[in-house]
Formats: sequence, C-alpha cells, structure tokens
Amino acid sequence: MKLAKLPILAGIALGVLAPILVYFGNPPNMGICAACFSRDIAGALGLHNAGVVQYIRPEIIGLIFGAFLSAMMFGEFRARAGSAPLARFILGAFAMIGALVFLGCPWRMWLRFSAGDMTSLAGIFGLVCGILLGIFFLKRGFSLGRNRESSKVVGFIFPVFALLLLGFFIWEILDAESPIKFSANGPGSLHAPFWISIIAGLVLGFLFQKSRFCMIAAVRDVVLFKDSAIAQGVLALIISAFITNLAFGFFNFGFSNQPIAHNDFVWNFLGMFLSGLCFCLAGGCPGRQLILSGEGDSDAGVFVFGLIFGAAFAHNFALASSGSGIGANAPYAVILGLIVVVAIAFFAKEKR
Amino acid sequence: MNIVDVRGLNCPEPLIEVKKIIDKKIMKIKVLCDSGTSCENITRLAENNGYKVTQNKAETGIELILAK
Repeated sequence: MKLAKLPILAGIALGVLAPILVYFGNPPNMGICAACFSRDIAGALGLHNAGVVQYIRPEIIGLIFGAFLSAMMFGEFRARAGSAPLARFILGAFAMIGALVFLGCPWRMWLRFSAGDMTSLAGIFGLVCGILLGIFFLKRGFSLGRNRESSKVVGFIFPVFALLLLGFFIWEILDAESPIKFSANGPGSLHAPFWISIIAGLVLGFLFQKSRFCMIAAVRDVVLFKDSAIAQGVLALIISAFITNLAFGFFNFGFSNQPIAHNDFVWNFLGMFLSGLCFCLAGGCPGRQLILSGEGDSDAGVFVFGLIFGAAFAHNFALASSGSGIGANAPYAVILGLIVVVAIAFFAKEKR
Repeated sequence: MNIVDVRGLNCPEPLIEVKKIIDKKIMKIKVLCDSGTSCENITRLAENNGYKVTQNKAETGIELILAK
C-alpha cells in the first residue's frame, strides 16, 4: 500500500484546525461543518428563522476561495455544467435534512467521534450503509449523466456568490440595521474571530482541492476499487483530531452530555443513511461539493444551493434536531427523502 | 485498442467504466479524460492492476494510455 501523502496532509490539517477553531470560539465539536455552517448561512440570509443558528461562516467562504485559488494555480479550474441539475438540487436538499437530523456533515461526524462523542457511531453506521446502497445503484448503472464544458463565466458564478457572502458579512458588521441576521445566543453566536475562520477555510479549501479529500470517496473507493488513498486521509483526520482534542481538554468519552448532539440511535442512523446515499449519488460529501463549486463545477454549485434550501426547510418545518432530540416532523421528512432519493437512484440511468 | 470516454462523468463513474475494460484483461486502453481528479484516480487504478500509464495533453482534455 502506497502512502497517500496529500490526503493524509489534508486529514491532519482538518483534524488539527477544527479543534483549534473550537478553542477560538466555534461551537463544540463543530470546528468546521459543511452542513451546520451552510445552515447558519441560510439563517443569516433570513431563509429560516431559527434565531440560534444564524451566522455567515467565514470558513465556508474560505473553503470556496481556497479551492478556487488552488484550481487556478494548478490549471484545474474548468467551467462545467449540465448534469441533471434539479436532481442534484433535490439530493442536496435531502442530504441536508438527513445531516440536520444527525446534526452534522461527515466531517463533523468524524470530529464528534474523535472527541469521544459515541452518539456519532449510529451516524457512522448510517453513512457507511448509505454509501453502500449508493454503490449498489452505481453498479446497477446509476448515472446523472455527463456535464459539458461551459463558458468560463458560468464557472465563476459560485466563487462570486462566495464573494457576495463576504460582502454581506461586512455589511452586517458595519450596519446594525442590515437585513443580515447573526445569532445573539446559541451555536450561531459561537464563532472564532473572522480572520482565523477565513484563513482556516482558505488553507483547508486549498488542501482539499489538491488532495481530492472526500468523506464519501474514503469509503466508496475502498469498497469499489480497494483503493485506500482517501481513506488514509480520513484515518489521519481521526487520529490528529483525537490528539488535538485531548490536548485542548475537549475529549469527553461517552453517550451522554455530548455537545450539540442527541442519542437517538435510530434517527442518527437513518439521518446519516439518507445523507450518505444522497452524497454518494451526487459524487461527493458536502465539503467536496463546496470545493468542486469553487473549481468551476456548476452542478456541484446547484447541489450546494440544494443544501441551503434543505436547511431552510429543516428549520422552517421542525425537521432539524437539537440537543434534546429530533424535530417533530423529522421522521416524515427522512422517510419521504428515502422514497424520493431511492426513486431517483433506481430510475436515473444514462448511457455513460 | 479499446477507447473509453469518461469526460463529463462525476466520481466514481469514470473509474467504474475503466474498471469494466480492465476486468476484460485488455492489454491496451485509451482513456479520454477531462478532470485532474479522474486522471489521478484512473492512473492509480491502472497501476494497481499492473498497467503502465502515459499521459498526453489532447485537444479535448487529457488522454491516458494504459498498457501492459
């Protein structure tokens, strides 16, 4: 087995930086989370009204810019679009709903695990099972079809959206009357200083673009191709996050009193199962979709807008969990999601 | 020589397509590819299966020649 240097480096960077971000003020076990942070952005823009989870997370802006810069530097920026956009949007929306039932994207899932939060185990099983079901459909010939090269300007739309988010951030800082909403309490109010957040995002975005770091590929490539390159990165993430959490005194082993998490095995499992299936069908975890959006992939950009749309639904319709348990309507949404997504997986076949 | 066109496909479809041909024990395969990610992944897959990989810049992206 060859050592996969870049994915390992990316994993170590995430494992070390995430607890550092928590140390500087981000929510516990949520140094960085592609799902929660996109949800906070949805809230800051007023797309949902959950007052405790509203903030424009500079980490997300940094991730997109970092990927954009890396892609530009290494000649990998390619504007492309046109692979079943609406299907990807729906996959993004249900992926987010599943992730908010579990309370975290696959990054946060491993971060929770490496901080001793054993309620994440149900999510880990769920994610792996979701990916396995996705692989089953991929082997059956599932495909959302090919994308096509598009005009360069189309590829710039998503990085410009990130720039707009940065503008909104500055607007809120300068003008107390702005329509942007930042939480006064709750997880949304917990955040590291702007510069630390955005630099961490930039570094991670750069590394993730270069290393193709992806929480879905880690499992999928081992199962499908016996290729452990990305899985080595995830292992590095778990080990380095474990050590860093220990060093900061954040490690807390057990099933109870875990920060921003609940211990409902069935719905932790099913939430991440739905998410894992969506991510696998869409070709990558939400972090990876953010990176791809930054390197010109419009279809990934549509998926990310789906995530934001799903986050708005999750909080407007009582689907998102909290520390005290799942939302009142979460079971209906997860079951509907599974039906819709399995239907897409079953019927979407194209000549590759 | 078999030609596989994986341009525009998202992960992991390019690898699934190439693996189908590799599993047929074909000695020489040409892959038309357009993303750095797929090129790296296909190169790794091919090398793990005993192929030598050469990479050429083509007008429409990148051309990989897998040969045993």
